Amino acid sequence: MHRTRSTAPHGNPPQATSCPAERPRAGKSCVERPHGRLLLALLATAALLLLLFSHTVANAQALLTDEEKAWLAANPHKLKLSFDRNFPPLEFLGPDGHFNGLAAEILKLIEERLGAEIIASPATDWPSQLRMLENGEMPVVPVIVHTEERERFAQFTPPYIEIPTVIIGRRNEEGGKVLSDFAGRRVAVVRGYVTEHYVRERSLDAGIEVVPVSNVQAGLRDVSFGVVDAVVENLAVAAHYIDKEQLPNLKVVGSTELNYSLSFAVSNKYPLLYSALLKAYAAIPPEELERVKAHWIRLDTGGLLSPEQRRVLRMTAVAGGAVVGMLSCVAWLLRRRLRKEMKELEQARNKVQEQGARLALVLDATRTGIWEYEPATGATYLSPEWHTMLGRLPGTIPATYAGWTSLIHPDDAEATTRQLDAYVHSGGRGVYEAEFRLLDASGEWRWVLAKGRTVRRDSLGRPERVIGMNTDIHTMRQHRDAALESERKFRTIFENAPYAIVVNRMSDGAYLDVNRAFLRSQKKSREEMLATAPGHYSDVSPEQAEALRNKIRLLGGMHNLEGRSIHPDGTVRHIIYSSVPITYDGETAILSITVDVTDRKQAENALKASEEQYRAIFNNAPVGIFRTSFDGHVIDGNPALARMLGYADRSELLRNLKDKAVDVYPEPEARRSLLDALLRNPSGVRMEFELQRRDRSPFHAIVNATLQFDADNQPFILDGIVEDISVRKQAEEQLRQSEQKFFQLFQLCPDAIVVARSEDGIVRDVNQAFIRMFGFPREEVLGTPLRALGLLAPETSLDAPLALLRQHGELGSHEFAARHKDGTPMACLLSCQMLRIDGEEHMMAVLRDITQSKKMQEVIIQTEKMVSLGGIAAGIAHEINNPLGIVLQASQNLTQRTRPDFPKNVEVAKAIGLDMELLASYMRQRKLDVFLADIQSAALRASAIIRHMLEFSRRSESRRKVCDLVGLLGRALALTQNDYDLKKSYDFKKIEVSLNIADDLPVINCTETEIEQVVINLLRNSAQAMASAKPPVAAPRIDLDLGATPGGIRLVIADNGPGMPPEVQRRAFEPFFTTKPPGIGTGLGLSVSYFIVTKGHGGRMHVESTPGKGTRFTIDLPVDIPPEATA
Amino acid sequence: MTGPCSTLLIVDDEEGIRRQLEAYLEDQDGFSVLSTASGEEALQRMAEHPVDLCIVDMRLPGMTGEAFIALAAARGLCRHFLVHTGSLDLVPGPTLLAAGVGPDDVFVKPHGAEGMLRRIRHILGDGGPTP
Repeated sequence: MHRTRSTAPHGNPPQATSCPAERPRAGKSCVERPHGRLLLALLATAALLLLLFSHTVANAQALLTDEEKAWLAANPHKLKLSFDRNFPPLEFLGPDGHFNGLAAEILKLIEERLGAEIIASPATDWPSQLRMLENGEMPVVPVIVHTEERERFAQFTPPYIEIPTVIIGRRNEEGGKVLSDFAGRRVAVVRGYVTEHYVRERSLDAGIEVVPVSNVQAGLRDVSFGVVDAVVENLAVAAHYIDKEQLPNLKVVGSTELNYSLSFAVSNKYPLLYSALLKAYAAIPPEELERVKAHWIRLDTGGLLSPEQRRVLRMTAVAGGAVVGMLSCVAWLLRRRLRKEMKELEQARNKVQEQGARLALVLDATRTGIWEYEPATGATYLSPEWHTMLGRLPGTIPATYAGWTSLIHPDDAEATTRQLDAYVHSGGRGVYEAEFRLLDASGEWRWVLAKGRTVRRDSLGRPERVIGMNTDIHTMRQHRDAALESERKFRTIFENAPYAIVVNRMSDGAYLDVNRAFLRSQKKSREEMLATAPGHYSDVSPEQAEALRNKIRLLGGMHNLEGRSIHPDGTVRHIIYSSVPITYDGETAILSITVDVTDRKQAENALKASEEQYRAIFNNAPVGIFRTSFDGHVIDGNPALARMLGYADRSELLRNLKDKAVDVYPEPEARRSLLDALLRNPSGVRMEFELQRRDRSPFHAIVNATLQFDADNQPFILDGIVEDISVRKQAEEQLRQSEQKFFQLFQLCPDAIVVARSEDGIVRDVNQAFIRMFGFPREEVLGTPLRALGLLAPETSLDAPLALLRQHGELGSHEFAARHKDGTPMACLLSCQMLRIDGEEHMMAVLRDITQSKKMQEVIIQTEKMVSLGGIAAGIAHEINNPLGIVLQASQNLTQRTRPDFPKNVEVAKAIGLDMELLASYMRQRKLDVFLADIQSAALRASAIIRHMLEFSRRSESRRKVCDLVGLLGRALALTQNDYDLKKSYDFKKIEVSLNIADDLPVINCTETEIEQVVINLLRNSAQAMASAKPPVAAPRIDLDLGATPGGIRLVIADNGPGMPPEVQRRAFEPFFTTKPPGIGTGLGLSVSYFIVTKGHGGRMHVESTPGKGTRFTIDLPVDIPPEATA
Repeated sequence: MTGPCSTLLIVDDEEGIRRQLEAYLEDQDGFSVLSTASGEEALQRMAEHPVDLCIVDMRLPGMTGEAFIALAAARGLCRHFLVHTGSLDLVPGPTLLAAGVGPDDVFVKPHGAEGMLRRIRHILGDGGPTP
């Protein structure tokens, strides 16, 4: 009906159908008598009122201010509104594409009075409509509830209608409900409508599940198909759709306090439009509004509304005062007669309707449809409820047997039809009953229970008409199957679970059921167990147990609680349990699952202790501990590692190294080699690397690492420790250098060093000096006992010093007589130290050959003697010279005074009568003259000795100056050749002397007299030696060679005399050593010469001599005399 | 031997030296020889009898030979001095040089007296070259 009406042209809605069932109560309250005159009078009044209407229309424009008019004229493009295309009958998009519905018609009335047209266009949805109103894009919204929130952006006309919001449920629902009656049930609302907000606000307290739907139709359909239990929406729209959608199983089951007060709203941005529109709206006569509303709001929704609801709805529509009242009366009178005539029919129909409604109620409550079947003709009837059950519209299924069977599931079809046929053929006795699946509108199969009974038979008694019901048992079947399945599953889990599961009665905790795992753990049979008193297996009191049960009930279950239970052997076990309330055999009970975690708890404790231990090691280990991923990201590292790598602490390390894969390896290959080694040997490798610290300074480290693989057997985690060995490495390097130094020292040491094992004296090592000193090849020494080498001189023993060595561990500077391999004796100084080498006691002996220095020492001792003797000599020479002077002078005077030719002697002799000639002759004959000569000679010799001694000892006061070596040599030769003493003992002239002087001699500084003395000494020695040689030297000669050396000159004085035997040669420079007969040499000449050259001039002097061949003295004098050289 | 007689004074604390040298020089012609054992005594003697030449030991009791020579020269008691010493290393210093004593005037004991005699004659200008 509505559908038809909604397509009618605007402004001319058919009126007749809106009234008949509508106003019985209003009528009663008005006029009772009928009649033509009155009717005429009323018509006249109506005409007047019409005049009044047209006047009102004209007046509306007059009411507008100039400003408003001007605005309207200037802004035709602003005159537009948006409407909801889906809110019939209030507003909707008509089939012709125009704005349609109650609001559209009121808009028409407004436009007439405004003298302007407002263009309406459909909005996409309600929220966008609101948004456009707010921003002024669409200045007008025609159907809107006036709320405080919306006043922010819009102004509202007074409401033109108030529609209650109702609760619509299925027909079987009891009426008179309020929202709170839907606690725990599902209530649909249209998303974004004020109803949503309204219901949601109340849903929390009431415990309602709010189901938002996209539109009113969807909500109603969901109610009809049982998806939700109710929908809350305004009555007008709901009624429209119930009618349109053919949802006969719906009805209004309750009311809410929410009314839709619908107004026109104008955006705040257009105050002039609002004021103009408000005036135009106010100018609409109330009866005109009523008319329009009555047209669109249907109240005869076939039982949808209760009379009370209808009354409420009607009351909301009555807003018009006297005129409206009158008009109502007119309308009422006009329809009264018709009403009365129809009354009986109405009553009859109502009765049928009531019965139908009751049946429908029953059918709907059971989701049952009625069918009829005439076996003879195959005609079939399927009731609307039957269609609703399958979500289908009545009439969409052919009313035939085939139409019905076409919906039966293929698997069920044969059995179902056979059953029905069998029922019919068997005479239709009793009740036909079958279960099968039917295809519903959504394409799903629904289980249906069919029951039927034969209601009419033909003459032969065969069933002619069978009536029955199909009941939707789909959900029931599903539930039943699900329950069975659930029970089966539960039982399987219950019995086979590895955990103990028990069911206790809620009220007293008695055991209702226990599973096998529990029985196993308690070692009891089920019967024993169920007979056991509650609480037997725990250590809680009955009060505590009851409190716990209550808590489980109130909280709806408790999970993963820790507790203790008593094992049959008396031990207390740690358990974790979860308990939930369940219904068991109709009783409230508690199902508890218990896991014995005693072992796990112990393992956890052990693990915790182990973890703590590990953590302590991790934190305090002196070595770095790390964990990295295989690709090198640091996952963890201990404080020692952080310090080692130059970070303040562990967190800084992790922060900085997390994203740097291989930062500690200066060479990526190094890490690669570690990984390769780990892949070969994941259980552990040990490698040495040069790593780098944070500041890139390198350090040596030993890395011990292991490799773990992940579940896919891919290399995953590296664990390991890093030991910083840079210090050790450094020490090793120092040790190596030290060893090298020691080795060099050992080898290059001028002293012989031998290392021998204490136990047996086996030589382990000797140095080069040892080999040189003793003349043994190295091979011969190593591995030989020291004693076997024969290093000691005969009759020498080192037993005593070695005993000291063993006692004190060291021995210093022990002198002993040693022997060269060839037997040459040597003086040796021995120092020893005991050391442990490779765990064995060893003796390290240092041997110094002091043969030469011992000789030198002797020389020095003698020299010192001489020096001191010289000092004494200088002091006493003067004293000795005086007596010598007397001796000499006295002998001279004796000689003089016995001379016969000396006048004074002759004179004195004559005076006493002595013949001087006779005296002289006497003295000659008695050799007195020789005696006097001996005295003289002895005195002179003594004097010479003293002079030499003094020369030797005195400090030269002469200055060094540039030396005329050539002149010096000439003078020395001349002096020697004319030497008085030499002349006496041998003839120097027999000796051939050659003087060979090189050119380009460097100029040297020297004390000429001293060097001259040296040369004279040597020449004299040579001459004396050759003179005294036996046999005599055939052709004696002396060669003097003066030549240049780098940095000085060399003088060689060589003779071909008898030479010196080694022992003489060795002592040649020794003071007081002389080979000359007594009285010939002082023994000081060569030693004085030696000291003049070496000490006085910083030069060198040595002698080479071969007995029988000659002697050769070499003197080297430097150009520059060292400052320390003094003479 | 005729001609004036020169007076020589031997200053030496050693009596043997004085006697032997006196004997030797007295035997020569033209010398009158005196001797004293100390410088002080010599100065006193010279104050009574001027001398031509003094033969002076360096190491004397009391004033040294050098001091004596310096004093005698300063007082003009004697014009010539010979040094007669037991020391081998004596080189005339400024004091002796100032008194006219040069290296040739130094004689080291013991020595054959001929050299000294030649030097005396040379100094006193009565014959013989100086060696």
